[in-house]
Amino acid sequence: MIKPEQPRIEIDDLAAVVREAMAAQKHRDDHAFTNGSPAASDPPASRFPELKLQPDFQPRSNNRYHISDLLRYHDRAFVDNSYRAILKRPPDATEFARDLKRIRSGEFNKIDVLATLRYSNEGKAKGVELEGLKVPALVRRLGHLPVAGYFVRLAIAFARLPNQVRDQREFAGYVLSQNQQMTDFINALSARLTEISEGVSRVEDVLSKQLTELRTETQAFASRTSEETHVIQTQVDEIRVQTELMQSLVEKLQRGSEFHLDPLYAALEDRFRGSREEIRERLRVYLPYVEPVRGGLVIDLGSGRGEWLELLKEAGISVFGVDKNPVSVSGCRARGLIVVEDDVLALLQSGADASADAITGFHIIEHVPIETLVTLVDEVLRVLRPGGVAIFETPNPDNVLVGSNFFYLDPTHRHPLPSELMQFLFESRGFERVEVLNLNPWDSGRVAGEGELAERFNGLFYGPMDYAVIAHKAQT
Amino acid sequence: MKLNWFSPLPPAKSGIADYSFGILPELSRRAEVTLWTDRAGWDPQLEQYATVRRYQPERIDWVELNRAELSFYNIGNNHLHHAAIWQVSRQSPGIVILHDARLHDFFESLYRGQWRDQAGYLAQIEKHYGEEGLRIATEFVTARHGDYDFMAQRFSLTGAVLENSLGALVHTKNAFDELRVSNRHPVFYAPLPSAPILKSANTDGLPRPPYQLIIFGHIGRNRRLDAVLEALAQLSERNLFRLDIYGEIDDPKMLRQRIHTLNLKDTVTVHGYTPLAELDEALSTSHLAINLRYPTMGEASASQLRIWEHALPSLVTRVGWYASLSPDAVVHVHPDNEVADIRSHLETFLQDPARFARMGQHGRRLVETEHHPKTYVDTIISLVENAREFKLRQAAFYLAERSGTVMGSWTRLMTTDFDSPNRLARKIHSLTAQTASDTQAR
Amino acid sequence: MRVLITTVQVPFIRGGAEVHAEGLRDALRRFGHEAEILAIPFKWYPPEKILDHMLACQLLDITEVAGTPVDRVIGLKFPAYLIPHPNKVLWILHQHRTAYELWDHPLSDLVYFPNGSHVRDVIQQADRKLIPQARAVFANSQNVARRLKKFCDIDSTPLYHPPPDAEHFYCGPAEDYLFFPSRLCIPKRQALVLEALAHTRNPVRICFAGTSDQPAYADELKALARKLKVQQRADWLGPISGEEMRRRYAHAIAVIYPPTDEDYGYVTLEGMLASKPVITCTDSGGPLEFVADHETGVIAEPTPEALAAAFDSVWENRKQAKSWGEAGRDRYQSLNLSWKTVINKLLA
Repeated sequence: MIKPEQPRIEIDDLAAVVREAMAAQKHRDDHAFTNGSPAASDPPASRFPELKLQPDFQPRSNNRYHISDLLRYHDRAFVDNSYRAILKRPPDATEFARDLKRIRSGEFNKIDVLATLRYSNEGKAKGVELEGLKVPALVRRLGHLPVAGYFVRLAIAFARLPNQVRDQREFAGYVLSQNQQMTDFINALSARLTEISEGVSRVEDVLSKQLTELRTETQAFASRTSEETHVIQTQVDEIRVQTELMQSLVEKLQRGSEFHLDPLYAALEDRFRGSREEIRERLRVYLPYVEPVRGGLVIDLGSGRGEWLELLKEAGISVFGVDKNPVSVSGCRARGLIVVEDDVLALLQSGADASADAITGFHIIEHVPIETLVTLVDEVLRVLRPGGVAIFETPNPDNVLVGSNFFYLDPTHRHPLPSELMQFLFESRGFERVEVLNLNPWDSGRVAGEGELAERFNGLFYGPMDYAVIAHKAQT
Repeated sequence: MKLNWFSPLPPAKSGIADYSFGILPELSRRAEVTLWTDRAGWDPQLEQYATVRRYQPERIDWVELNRAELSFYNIGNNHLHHAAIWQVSRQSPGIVILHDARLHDFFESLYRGQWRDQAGYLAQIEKHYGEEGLRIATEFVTARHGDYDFMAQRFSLTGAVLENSLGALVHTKNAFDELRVSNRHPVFYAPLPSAPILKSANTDGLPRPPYQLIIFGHIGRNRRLDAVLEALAQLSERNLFRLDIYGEIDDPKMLRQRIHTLNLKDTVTVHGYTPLAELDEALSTSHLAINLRYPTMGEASASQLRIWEHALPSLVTRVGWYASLSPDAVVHVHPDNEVADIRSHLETFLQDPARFARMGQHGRRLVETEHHPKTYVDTIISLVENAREFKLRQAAFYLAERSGTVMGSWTRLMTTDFDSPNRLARKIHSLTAQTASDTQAR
Repeated sequence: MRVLITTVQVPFIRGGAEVHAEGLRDALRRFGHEAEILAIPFKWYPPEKILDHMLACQLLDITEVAGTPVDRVIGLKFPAYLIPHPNKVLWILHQHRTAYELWDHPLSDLVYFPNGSHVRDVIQQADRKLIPQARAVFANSQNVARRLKKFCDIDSTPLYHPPPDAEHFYCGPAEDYLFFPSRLCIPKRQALVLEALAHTRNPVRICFAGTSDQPAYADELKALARKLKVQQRADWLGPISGEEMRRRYAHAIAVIYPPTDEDYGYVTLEGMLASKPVITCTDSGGPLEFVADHETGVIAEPTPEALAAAFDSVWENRKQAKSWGEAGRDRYQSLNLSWKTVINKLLA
């Protein structure tokens, strides 16, 4: 939990809000004033407005001008426009510089320039009509006469004095207005510059924010990667733990603790039951019996080394095993098989009704006392779905050698279970279509020869060593 | 100490109603609580802890409201539950508790749906997101199938919710970081508090197959059910799992079809809306919860807390708040790789259910420490203790805006001439800010 | 000295505060100072307007006028007393009451607004912070000082002043009526007095003088009198001149003045000046600082029965009433209320 920070009021924040509100109000006022569609009246942000101190010059198509059309221009514009109007072309660099100098120095006045242009050869050739030029031009000419010209100029000057004064005033006013325009323009420019610079700093903010985000993401990625590494590390550690567990079990065995029987049993199994491959082959015979329940769930009670689990997995049938022996369980898990470490009966009892399609148990029923066996059979029936199948394989006491000798190789076996007894048991507890399958004869041990003795002998001592009870639950 | 609490209340079908009910006992121990609702009925159990007052946004007893020191307004995306609350919050400023960080859905359904005021909706977008926002929103309303997800991510409209508030309280660090930067209001963070569960947690030994998977809550498109079903269908050991789905389903027909097509009828059971007691019972017998959300509205999940209360491991999407959850307590599914991730996690579960059980225990510990209602209520109480500061701050900003607006009519240029904003700010500050040696008279 | 009196005006409405400010200004001028009243127009609804006006006061600059400094500022009412000045003295008539003792009260207005509590907090904050910035803080009465201490933990000195035209009050032989001069409004409790009138065992007669801000209220009171069947014994004089008022004071048996939690109350002092006993109530505030129960008047519970008993007691025992009135006059003298004292304290 983060303690609430004291929400102090910062003066800068307040000032910022004041400014924003001012700007917003100004914006509203401006738009109310212009009254036009906002989109249209806002200039595109990128273009700078131009300052036009003088209006553009539009050449006339009829080539008729009055001198006042041109006289209203000053300085550069005057020179340029005069050429365009009278000679219908812009001045070249030399002409421009020369005439501009003349105007600026006062040596020529505008009338002079106009007259010079108009009455030049080119001007005459172009024949542009320039009203009001003649008289002033003539007077100017007169003014240029030697001696008399001075008097003419003087007279003209006096006559023109009021005009001059007026002109001066006009000019002054003109200059002032030009200055004002320029000032306004500069101010507007400066405001635009401010906007732009604010825009730039906003862009900077955005960029820096994005950069920060990018950095954060990169860091997040880095930390995720380190997380994942951590996870892997954890898994490695777990494996190490499991290995250590195995080792400690082995040690316990050597020291003679209570788990010593499990590895012994595992070792016994290895020695007397047969190799994995042999067992796998033998168990294949049951595949056809679980085939009808493909798509359903098989539970293998007492899965041991997991050969049956492997077979089913390869066949694509869902199965999980149950075994109390942690060594077997971890061995199976190491092979990617699914095993629950639990007591077989406890697991069955915790199962829901009709939740499995097949329940198998290879060489387990000979380990339990008869009362437990009955309970086990009942639970199997309950947990099976209607139409489900139960398969239990156990050593076959019909084989005398098995029944009297080999059965007891496993000290945890209780007593041999005759197949007729098992068949009866399953039927009486409610199973249907109970069949017995006799399997795995000891062919290599048979005595040679024919005749009844050999047959009887072989039948009794070298016949099927195991049998399986295959029982079904009624469909409804 | 007295406070006002605006929230949907049980029996309204709202996670926020459950959340309010969850913290109410602890809250009422520390302060006098008045609950405000615009509905006619409420769970009588509430009155053990607080006074309940009914109101309408256009008719509310301000005198009663003003007797408390601070008002709290719980806002989420469901406009049916929160429209009235939002309207009151605009008039009497208080602390807004944001249960979702993205509120476009709220405004869109409220303006266009409930009030039939499309212009209002567009005006809100324009106000907070400018011309560009208006352009996008206009496209959205005229399109035949608007992209709601895109709009939700682009226009969180938290500014609109916080407009006249004293501050915001959020439940995810993401939202906290985001709002702090973009917002002028004070923002606070407290992890979402867990609600008490009605059935005790599952403390059996190791889980046994078939393993029970559970999905619950409001089942919409963002719960990624398609991906889950697909993953289950692909799993060869699917029969070791059972999946139960609890809660209101947006499109039940389509779901049933999908289950049928994928041949998962025996694996998946759909239950529909379930009362809380039954749900808790189902959770207590489950082994793995699936709580995928994508896209997210930036909310912290009360369901996730409920999952942890039951000491369950869970699958969550690596996005938003869920991405920040510890891998010791959940496993993550990447939104771009859902089916494969889900499958892989389920297979891992089969391999080592004990490890997942440990995750559940870790989650349980998390919920008891970080998400304890007591911790959350501590934050609420300290906010009430600072109520005066918030109000003064808001008054200061009100005056700043007011005086700025008045002055904006006089000044022609944008340049900061006369230094008025700073001088005004200083005056306002001296009028409203508390000095260090301020003594509280009451 | 050049003194500015900062106070508040509600245009077109005139009351005790205006009289008080003018009294102070005139007294200052009499004692040779230059004095002007600076009244700020004040609109207090909706509540955010109060904030606007507070800021406006804070922004005003009255440190000097046309180059000449203002020597002293005397602040009387909120928010005008917030106008800053380095030599400011406060003589608080009352704070913005609906943010304080009238907050959660039938007479309030602030509490009925959604942002009422927010604005209340700002007012309290500003008062707490800015009032102590004055050179000295005086209060209109002990009642006001007590409120200031209770709500804002600010110490202030009560400073009484004489009512207007104090020297023109006189005493005359008592005629058969009790006098109740006050603006006709709910806080002054004319309605309660009418109900008490209905309970008297004597044919007590009461002359009510004054107008109401809303004409409808005057009609309401008259209708109430009719309903209680006391209209024969209630005279409504309406607005009367100062001279007429003093005459009424002079010939009354006693003066009735039982307002609700009054800040000060000229009527009490005027009654004492006219050597008449004053009948007031236990929750009347200001008057209690001057009236001694059964010595200079009666302090009754604010119930019709208790007030009726008070009316009866002066109606029946004229001699006792007269001696109580004279004791009241003596008490007034002993208070030494004078503008001179007031001005000395304010300009110290």
